[in-house]
Amino acid sequence: MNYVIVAILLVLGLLILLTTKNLIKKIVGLGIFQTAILLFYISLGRVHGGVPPIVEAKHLEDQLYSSPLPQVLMLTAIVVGIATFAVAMSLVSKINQEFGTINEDEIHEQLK
Amino acid sequence: MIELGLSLDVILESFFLLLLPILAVAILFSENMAAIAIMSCVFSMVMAVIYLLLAAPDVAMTESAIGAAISTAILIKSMQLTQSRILSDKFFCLANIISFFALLFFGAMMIYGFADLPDYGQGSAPVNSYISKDYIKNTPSEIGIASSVAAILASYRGFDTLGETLVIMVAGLVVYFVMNIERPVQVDLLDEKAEAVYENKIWMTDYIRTMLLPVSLILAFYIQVHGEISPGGGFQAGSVLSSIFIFYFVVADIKSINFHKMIKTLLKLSFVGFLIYLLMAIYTAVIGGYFLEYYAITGTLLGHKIGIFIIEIGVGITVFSVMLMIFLLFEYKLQSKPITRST
Repeated sequence: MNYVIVAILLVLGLLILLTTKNLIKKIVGLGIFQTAILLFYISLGRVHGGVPPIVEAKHLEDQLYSSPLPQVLMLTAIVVGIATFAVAMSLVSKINQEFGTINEDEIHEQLK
Repeated sequence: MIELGLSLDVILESFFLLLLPILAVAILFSENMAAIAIMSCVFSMVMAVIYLLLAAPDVAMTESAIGAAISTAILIKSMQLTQSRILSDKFFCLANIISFFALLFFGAMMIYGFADLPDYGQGSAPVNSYISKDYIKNTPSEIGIASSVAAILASYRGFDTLGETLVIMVAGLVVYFVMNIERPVQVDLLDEKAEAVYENKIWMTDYIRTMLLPVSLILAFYIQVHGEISPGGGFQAGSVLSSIFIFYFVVADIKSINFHKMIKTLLKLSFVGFLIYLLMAIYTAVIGGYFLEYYAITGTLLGHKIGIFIIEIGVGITVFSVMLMIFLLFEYKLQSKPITRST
């Protein structure tokens, strides 16, 4: 179930990226693509009946925990993701300043 | 009781998972930019709930602060900056149909490949077997803190986190230079319509100042300080704190704020956060341990606690200042832009 949703989201994210000419909507599509990958990693670390990995020494043996490693990696990936998202947005606003538009076709027209 | 709990879990999970493709399709066919911003916000909220159901509260916390609050704010600000409201994309041209079928093939291959993965939720899967098991088993005895996520983030893989903090700092710097704010601001007079909005904003600001801001600040500090024994830490607290301030600036009386000075201060603050981390790492090496080996600080498990606490503060400062600075840069750019009015 999770993995099928991940595959569908990957496809939809790329489809948004490809079908629109608007640069901001393209970046939103890229964000969905990224979120699908985050979901994939978190789903891999899931254990049925597992609790969040807050470990107490006395419960170590009789308690299942979900895997902390994918969580750490995805946690930092989200924060780095928003930083690069902001860089992309600032570049888009710079493009808008130069060309007066953020439509890909119109920018190509002006470059000819 | 356990049976019931498990099935409820699965039902909730499936419900929220099914919402995601629906929202993505809605974004795909939407032509209204404001609607796209709101739907991507809802997408992140649903995602945060799913992370919580998948027993990843740290990730859920970060996603709800960053995905739902900060990225939506930046998205809306850049939409205002580029003055894009309505799109006019053609969906049914030849190129789109070709790319749709190519992606359909790609998706089918992905699902075919995923079939070879270990069954979902299996405790014996390779992800949960080797290093993850070690981390969980050794966190109480080697690091002495309860939160395994914080232990991996700050201690086992502290060097990764150092690099990631640097990436965030550099991204903030890049946005600062791309936005190029070294120009005088043109403050224009408010017209009547804007005045009415302005009045409304003041009322909302008062509400936020008296009710929401103090409570949210305490929440953010709790997440920061309590990160070692509960879900939380520098990344989460930094993003929660900056999302509160962004919320404040969205509704606040913005004309009376000296943006230029504030942005400069936040830029310096992001360097300070990174330097706290780096100096901590160098300090442990100088006093006789390895690079980032907090054990050397006191020679006991207490050293780990002190080290993790300090570098989490460094991470928190960097994340907070970079996120807030990026938002303020967009806001400043919007203010200084000569506004073309339709009236």
